[in-house]
Amino acid sequence: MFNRRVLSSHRDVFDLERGGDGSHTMRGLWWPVAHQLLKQAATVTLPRRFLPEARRRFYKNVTVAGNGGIYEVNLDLHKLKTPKGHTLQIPNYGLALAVAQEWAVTKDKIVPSLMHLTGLSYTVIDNPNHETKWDTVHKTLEYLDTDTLLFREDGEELNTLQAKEWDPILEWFNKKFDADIKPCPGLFGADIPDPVRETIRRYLLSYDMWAVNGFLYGVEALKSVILTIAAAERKITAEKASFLSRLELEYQTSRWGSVEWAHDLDKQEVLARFSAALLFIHFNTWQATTKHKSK
Amino acid sequence: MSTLFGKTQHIFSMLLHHFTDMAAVTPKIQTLRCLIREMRRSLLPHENVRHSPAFVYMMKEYRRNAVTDQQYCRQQEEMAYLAHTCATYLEASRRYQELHQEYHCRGERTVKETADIVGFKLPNEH
Repeated sequence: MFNRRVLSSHRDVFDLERGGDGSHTMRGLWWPVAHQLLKQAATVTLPRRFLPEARRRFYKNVTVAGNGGIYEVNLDLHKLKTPKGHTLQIPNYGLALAVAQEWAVTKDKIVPSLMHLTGLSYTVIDNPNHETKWDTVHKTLEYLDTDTLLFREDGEELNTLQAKEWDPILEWFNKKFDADIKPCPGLFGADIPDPVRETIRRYLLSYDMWAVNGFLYGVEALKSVILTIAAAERKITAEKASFLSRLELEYQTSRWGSVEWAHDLDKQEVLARFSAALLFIHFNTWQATTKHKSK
Repeated sequence: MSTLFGKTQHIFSMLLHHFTDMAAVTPKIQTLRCLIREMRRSLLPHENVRHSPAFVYMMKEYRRNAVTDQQYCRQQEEMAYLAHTCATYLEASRRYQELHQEYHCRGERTVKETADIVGFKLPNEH
């Protein structure tokens, strides 16, 4: 029905342009939109898939090449490039090997969303959001007011557990930054004084662009600035940090049982994301110096 | 109910105990073994792990940071931590992919498969 009207209106349009007979008053209503209709007929709409099939592995060997502080990853004879077309140049050999490992581990299909280190390197090199280091640090600090560690449960049992597990980390954090951050009751964020915020900002700004992006990625995985800094300072391991960020979930599943396809999957994802972020921070701040004992 | 609750508490405390200071407790050689194991899984069938550059780099770092009479190593703990994180990353992403493959990669399941997942049995059909 609709098609017929559109087609007839096309005819009308041409009729009217030639002077038209004007007898079809109803059809004449189409005239105001005629130019649009003509335009529509001209556009060709191609079907487009937004979730294309993952690319299959097209390479055999993954190698790392380069020296003098810049390393590149090669897939057979192709250089690995970022989505914007820059060559992936990594300042640390260990990190380059880890990125290469991600490509080597791919057996059949290439799923970029699971290659966290590659993705992080792409982000730093391409800088798709045109961010400065300051912007990234600012984004990271926005998570501080709603830090996981600062929200406690009302129920007595879980509250005791949270206090037991989280308080030592919070204490360590307060001591490190000379602050007095307390867990906040209710829904509103914690009260963090400006001087403390600035101290933490300065701490984060002391890292380079690469490591700062690692911090943001870690904080986004755990929703906690405090745990991320604690892990970056080697106070706790990646496993412990991701466990602490999921404390309530762990408590509930230990009581009601866990479901492998949801809880375990989520656990492994958080752990993979966070350990990737941590690796990224540590590789990029790695300073290899060995002191020999004086003879 | 109280015994059940006591049991879950026990399991939970065991879980917690498991996580306390894992990096300090896990021997470094065990982390190294874990790393090599994960690396071996990523290889193509005809390859040997000894020829992979990551393996060579790792062994070099481990040897370089070994405490000997000749050198004093400040970064040994830092490296142990890094190696541990690396092993964690490789293992977690492998486990994630395995779980994803198992539960979310296929299309719809048959009634029997669904029943098997939750541990039910279908009535015999005649």
